[in-house]
Amino acid sequence: MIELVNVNYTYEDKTPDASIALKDVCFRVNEGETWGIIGHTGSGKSTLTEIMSGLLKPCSGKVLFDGLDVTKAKNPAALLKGKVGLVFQYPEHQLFEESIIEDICFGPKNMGLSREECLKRAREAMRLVGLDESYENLSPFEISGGEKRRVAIAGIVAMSPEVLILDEPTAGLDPVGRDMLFEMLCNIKGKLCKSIIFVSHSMDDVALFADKVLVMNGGEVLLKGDVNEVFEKSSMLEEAGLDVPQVTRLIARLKEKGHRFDGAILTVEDAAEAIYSKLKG
Amino acid sequence: MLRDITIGQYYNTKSSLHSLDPRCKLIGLVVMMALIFVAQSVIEYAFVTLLTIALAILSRVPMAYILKGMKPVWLIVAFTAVINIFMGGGETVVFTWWAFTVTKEALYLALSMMLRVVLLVTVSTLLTLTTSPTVLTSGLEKLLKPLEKVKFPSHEVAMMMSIALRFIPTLGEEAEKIMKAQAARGNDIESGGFMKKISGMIPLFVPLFISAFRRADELAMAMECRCYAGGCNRTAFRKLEYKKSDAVAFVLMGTAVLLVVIYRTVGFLI
Repeated sequence: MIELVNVNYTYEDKTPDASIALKDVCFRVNEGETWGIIGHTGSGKSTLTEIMSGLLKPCSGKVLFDGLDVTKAKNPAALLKGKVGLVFQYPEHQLFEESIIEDICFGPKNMGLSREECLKRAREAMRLVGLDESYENLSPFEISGGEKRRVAIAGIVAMSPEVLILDEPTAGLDPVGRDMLFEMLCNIKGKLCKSIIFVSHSMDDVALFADKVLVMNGGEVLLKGDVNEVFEKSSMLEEAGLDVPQVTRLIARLKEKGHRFDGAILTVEDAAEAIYSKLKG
Repeated sequence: MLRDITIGQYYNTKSSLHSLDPRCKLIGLVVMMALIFVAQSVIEYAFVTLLTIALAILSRVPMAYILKGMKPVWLIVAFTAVINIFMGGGETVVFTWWAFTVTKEALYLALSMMLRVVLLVTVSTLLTLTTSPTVLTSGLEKLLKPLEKVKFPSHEVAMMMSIALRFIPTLGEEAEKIMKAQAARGNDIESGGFMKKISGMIPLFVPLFISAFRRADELAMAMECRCYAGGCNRTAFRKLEYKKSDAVAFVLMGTAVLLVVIYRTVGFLI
């Protein structure tokens, strides 16, 4: 669906303050995939999300959406409206309308849809993020932080994008809030969006929720592929200063000690099972 | 775009202006402003312009950097100029167009007003460019200290000013972030008519105001947590002391004022 070919991006290009954010990034997202993007602060993750949603134009390289090069368009963001949705970090800070339903309608309204269609989509989006009708007429400023984030995500979901991109959706959430958020994303992916891409700092989140992972390091793609394949290369990840999921690290230690495990072990349950069967002999 | 605002920003480098005492620079700013305001004749304008340019060179801040920060000011400058040209009055008519008459006096007034605004902004920008906010605040506080006798809250005022300066870039960054986030929701402020542009600003300003208030609240809380209490004889971490270079600066300031006074009373120099 989205394909990046040799994308380069430099902030403040051609000035003394120039800083390279992305170097020769190639990356392809297919329909139905869930990608996790991980990397250090300043590794270019957020820039990547902005390029994929057309908000930034790459300095060189191509961004293809369904085979169409969007970098050639005068306004790539307008072209990708309703196709790629980007949820920024701390999206709750962008709420501004008087009522929740109005705020969610803002995106569809900008797409030029009729009032009825806007409301229909907004209600659908609210249902998907788990907010019931009683919220519709509340002010977005009198609800809790976690609910605000749901409203903000609903605001993007209501534009029914084919690809939903989220920049650190779990930042500042407690473990329960995080689990609920991922549950919600699963729900959205099954019903509305074809692919989901999310940026995260936590390897455990990626291991649990994503099926593909892209590891960024210093503006370059370090590793990409299936989650289990990438986590196999734990030494490379550690070199980049990234943690592998705690379970993967445990299994890697056991393997070092000479124990043998087959297949991918990504969750605590998998590990428990594997170790149990090992102990039983 | 919003990051380009250099008013109130500190430019870190080493120069003779940077090393001056903040009190000296603050007094210098007042003196320069007074000189700019009293200027009337071409010679006086040339004098203050030269002084400003000399100060800018002394500051070792790149000229391009200073001018870049003036961008938002140009609109105000152009506006005052236009108003002055058409509303200036005067007798010597240069040309008449429709209902507007442009006179020589009005042109001169418009030009001098433009120059005045540009010079004023440049001098005050130079002060903040060469003085870090903390130093500036302590200088201001010291200068306003005598006013405490008449119940003037000098410490509070200085603190408020330094916080305001500190938050200019933060709010700029925040505004940029919100702009992008709303653009992702299809908010378009670049195209469309005037009214459409205005209504496109609402989704930017509401969140920006909210975040400004939130930040203010958090800052107040954090200061209170560290037991901050206004100006009850707080001592300074860095004591301000006048140096030799400050004496030189004061002498130069005095000379400049003297020159203008002599010129005004005698009508010519030397």
